[in-house]
Amino acid sequence: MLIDLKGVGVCYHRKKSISQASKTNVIRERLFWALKDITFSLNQGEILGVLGKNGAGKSTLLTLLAGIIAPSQGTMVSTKKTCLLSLQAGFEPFLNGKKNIIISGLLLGLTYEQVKSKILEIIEFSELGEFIDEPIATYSAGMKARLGFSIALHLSPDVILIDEVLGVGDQEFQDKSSKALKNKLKGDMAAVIVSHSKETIMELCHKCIVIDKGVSVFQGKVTEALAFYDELYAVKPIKLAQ
Amino acid sequence: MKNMLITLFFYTRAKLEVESYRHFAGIFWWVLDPIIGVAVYYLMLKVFLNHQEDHYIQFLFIGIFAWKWFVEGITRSSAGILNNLTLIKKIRIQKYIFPLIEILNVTWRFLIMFSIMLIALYLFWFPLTIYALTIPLILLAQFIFIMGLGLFLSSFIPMFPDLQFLLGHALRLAFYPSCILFSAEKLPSQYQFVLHMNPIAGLVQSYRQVILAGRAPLWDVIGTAAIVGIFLGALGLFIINKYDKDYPKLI
Repeated sequence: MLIDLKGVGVCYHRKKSISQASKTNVIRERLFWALKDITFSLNQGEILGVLGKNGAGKSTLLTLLAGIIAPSQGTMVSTKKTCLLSLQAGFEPFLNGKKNIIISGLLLGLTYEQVKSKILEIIEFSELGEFIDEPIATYSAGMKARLGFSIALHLSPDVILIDEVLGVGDQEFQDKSSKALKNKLKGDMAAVIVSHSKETIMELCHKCIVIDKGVSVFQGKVTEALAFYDELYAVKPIKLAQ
Repeated sequence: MKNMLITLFFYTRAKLEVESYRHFAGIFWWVLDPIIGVAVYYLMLKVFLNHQEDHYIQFLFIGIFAWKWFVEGITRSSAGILNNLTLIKKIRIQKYIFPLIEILNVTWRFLIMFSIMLIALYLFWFPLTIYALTIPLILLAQFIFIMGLGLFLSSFIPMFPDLQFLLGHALRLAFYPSCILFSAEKLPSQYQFVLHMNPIAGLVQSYRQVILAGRAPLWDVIGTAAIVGIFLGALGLFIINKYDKDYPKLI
């Protein structure tokens, strides 16, 4: 088993500003439970889909799985190196593309040699050509996104965590990037995908969890999870008073 | 460990490159900035107030250089973790790397400037004595002190960002009793204890004793600065490690 969560909750401390505190005459921290009770497990080669509304705690869950924050309650076991597919994290705008590739790789915890061995592949995939020697500040938004995606695709470790980004750039590159990522996932990769797109979840995931207000309310097959999710948030007809 | 060092050096080099790229005059500012600083103090104290000190320009240069290294190192490293919270929220990373990058960055620039100054001083004004060999030791002690204090401050400033304002004033307060503008004898005897509490004052005096007078440095201050630095650094690393998973939760 790669990842195993039992009754996991994550709590944020929110400081009150002085103006808020004076109204209640108490200066104390407000606790906010972004995740309350999450239970699921992930095995080698499995792709897990995460369904839930905005603010249900999906992004917090990914940050937790990436080892960036720790659970405040419950137990979490994670045996492999996990990584959030964060595009363009740590980019230095005044450095050229090549140096940014190396910095991103080093920040992701790879060795200098590992990054060096992938650098040509990354440049080729990004289709940036000679722009790779120009500072990133001169890139268009699409070019930056392409570079960020190529780095994430080629340098990500054993378990990838994806937050809504399967494709970037113009239509052509979007198709290419989402295809490449899907191919990578379909190999013996483990992954957790947060997505609002039912097609993506259907196509890629082996199982699904549904999160509602920080609680994992369903765990099981993809089709059943989608049905459960639809039912949970089905628009209820409004009764009109007679 | 080896990978950490490579990351540290590559990142520091990249940041240096970025800084020289962003400003029109690039690395010329490294040279110009302290010279302007010395010129301002010389004009104020020597010309206007007629402050008496032997070799006052050389005296000021040593003081200002050592002080700038300290104050820039502390100011930048103490905000190291705080300024990188956006990145810390996205990537799992050793947090101590951020203050260290800032210190290495400032140190590298300082060492270049300091070497140029040292060559000029020995070439034109002062005889080279055996005590010149102790200069690297004084530098090392100051480096350890800056690193320790920087790591320590950076560990809790993310939780209390307001402290940054206080830090600026505290550093300004420390500037005057650090023997940057005047020698230790100028301070009345009842206030001499302030100098003994301040390692920077002792380090600056050591540089001057070795370079200007060809005498031995203040060994006890060098030792104290290094020990205090190691202690604060260890404490800082301990706190950073303890709150490793809590920094990403800060807003």
